[in-house]
Amino acid sequence: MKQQRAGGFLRTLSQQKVLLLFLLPAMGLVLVFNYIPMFGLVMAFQDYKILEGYFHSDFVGLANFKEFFASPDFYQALRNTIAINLICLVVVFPMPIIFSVLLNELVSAKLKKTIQTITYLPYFISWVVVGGLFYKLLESKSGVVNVLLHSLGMEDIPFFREAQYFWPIIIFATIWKGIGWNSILYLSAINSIDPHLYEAAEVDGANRFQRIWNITLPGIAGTAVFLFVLTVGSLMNGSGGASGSLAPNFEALWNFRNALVAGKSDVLDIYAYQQGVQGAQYAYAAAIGVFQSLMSLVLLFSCNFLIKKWRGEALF
Amino acid sequence: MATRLNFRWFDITVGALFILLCFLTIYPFLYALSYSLSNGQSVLTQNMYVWPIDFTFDNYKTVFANNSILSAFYISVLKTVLGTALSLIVIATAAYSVSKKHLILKKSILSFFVIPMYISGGLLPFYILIFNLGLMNKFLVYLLPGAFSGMFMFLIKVYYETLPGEVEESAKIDGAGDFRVFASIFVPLSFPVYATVALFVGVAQWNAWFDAMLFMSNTDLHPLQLLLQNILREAEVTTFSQVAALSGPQGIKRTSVETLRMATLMVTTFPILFIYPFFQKYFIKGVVLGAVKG
Repeated sequence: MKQQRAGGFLRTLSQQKVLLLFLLPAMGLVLVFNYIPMFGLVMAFQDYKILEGYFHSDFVGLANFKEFFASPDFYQALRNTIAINLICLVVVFPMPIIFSVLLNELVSAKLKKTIQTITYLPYFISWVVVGGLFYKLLESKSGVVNVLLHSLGMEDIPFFREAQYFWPIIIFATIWKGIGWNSILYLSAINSIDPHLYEAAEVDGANRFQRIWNITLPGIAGTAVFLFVLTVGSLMNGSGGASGSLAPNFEALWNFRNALVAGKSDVLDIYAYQQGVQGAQYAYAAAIGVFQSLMSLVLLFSCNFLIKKWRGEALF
Repeated sequence: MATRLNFRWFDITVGALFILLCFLTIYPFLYALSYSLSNGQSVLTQNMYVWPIDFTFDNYKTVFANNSILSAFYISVLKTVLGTALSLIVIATAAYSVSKKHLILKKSILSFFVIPMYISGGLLPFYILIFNLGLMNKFLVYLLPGAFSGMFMFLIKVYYETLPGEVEESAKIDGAGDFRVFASIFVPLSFPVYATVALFVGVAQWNAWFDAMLFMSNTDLHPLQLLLQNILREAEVTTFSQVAALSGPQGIKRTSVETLRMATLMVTTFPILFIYPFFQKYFIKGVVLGAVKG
């Protein structure tokens, strides 16, 4: 009986050899580039030496973690991470919702299409280019924004030279790049709302704001909750929200930062990159990565839990 | 009457907001374009708002005469083309297998692909891995690590599952194997979803620079995005001012480091701007489908 089953397994295996062959490259790549680094996290608990590798480096317990908890630079990076992401959650996250609700109020389909075409564009532009554009426009003295300020009789604003302007700039840039693209899911949710609801509301004499409040917003609430939980879950690890542009990620910050604003721009991802890759303190930076992942998990699960309590359902 | 007036004001405000948003979206590109078409010396002394000052193509001539920019452009094109082709082959074949109901160990195989979509080892173990694999300073480092994507595999899988099953069954009865079925039935029918995936992968390849910054100390293999980053910052300015100086041996110099920077930025952006309007529908279809599934 057992032999028979084993024989059957082998027969299926040989019948499906093409299917398995098709899977081989993908599984090989995932194994090497995704799974090996997961096990590589063991280095966070080692005095990792690149030439000795995972198997010959000494284990040091939580020494790497104690080291960064004792470092003032770490706390500055932690503060910047939390501050930038919290502001984004409050300011950037609602933008695509407002965008899609207002877009839905426009009557002309052609106009809607044009607005979508234009506002989706920045999503496809690299952060290197976006950084270059913002530096150019916001240049001190000669940038067009300052030239306009001068002509209005106002003082020059040294945007990229004083740290106090960094958070507003990066948050504006995040909105600029992502507002259109991040609205796609909301717009498709709005499109799937039954048009009869709007007609019935109109017959009942509901005005525009009542229709938005009672039909459109409830129609996209599920999408909003879904994206909100995912965004909260990615706050600490700088992956920038579910669709990659609800909060500035490493690529964004790296192209906007400079030495003068480092005190406000350098988040945990940047700190870990500088310590780990540039400073060759591999284990130390890996430990920061572990800390970020743990915090993300805690945030993800607690946000999901709270929303489940509140609405009865959440992401999982 | 009062409410009707209210409505009109609402429409006007919303319309104005969207016009402002569209203007804010387009203006930075327009500004950079005009700046790159301006005389590099005049634009330093006069204020430019919309139109180029002293229109000239000299900045672009200088940029396209610069060997390191040309070679970076070539590297970017090469890695975009090869990376997209490789991704499509790996993802489309794997999607075929996981779309089959009878696939052996299907549940385990699916979990194998899903887990890395949520958990990752982070930057440092990845960096060490590339080092250990000997991929540092190799062109392959642009292609291999990102070649597979679970998200796009599931996108294609969902698409395959919507294809009618009868053709496949009759082909199977006629003795066609999986390879034949895939190549002559699935591939020709799946062009729209392949286009979606190819565009996302291609744009990501074209825009990528961080992998090069991490793993490529050999500047000959730097892609355009990383070279642009260096040009926009301090590092590359010295070589550029030499270029600028060389470009006008006799007569008046009509470029400057600033206009050359903007010209390089535009050259980096043009490919995206060109393909964008044509393929917009594929982009959007992809994100909506992906979200429904994910």
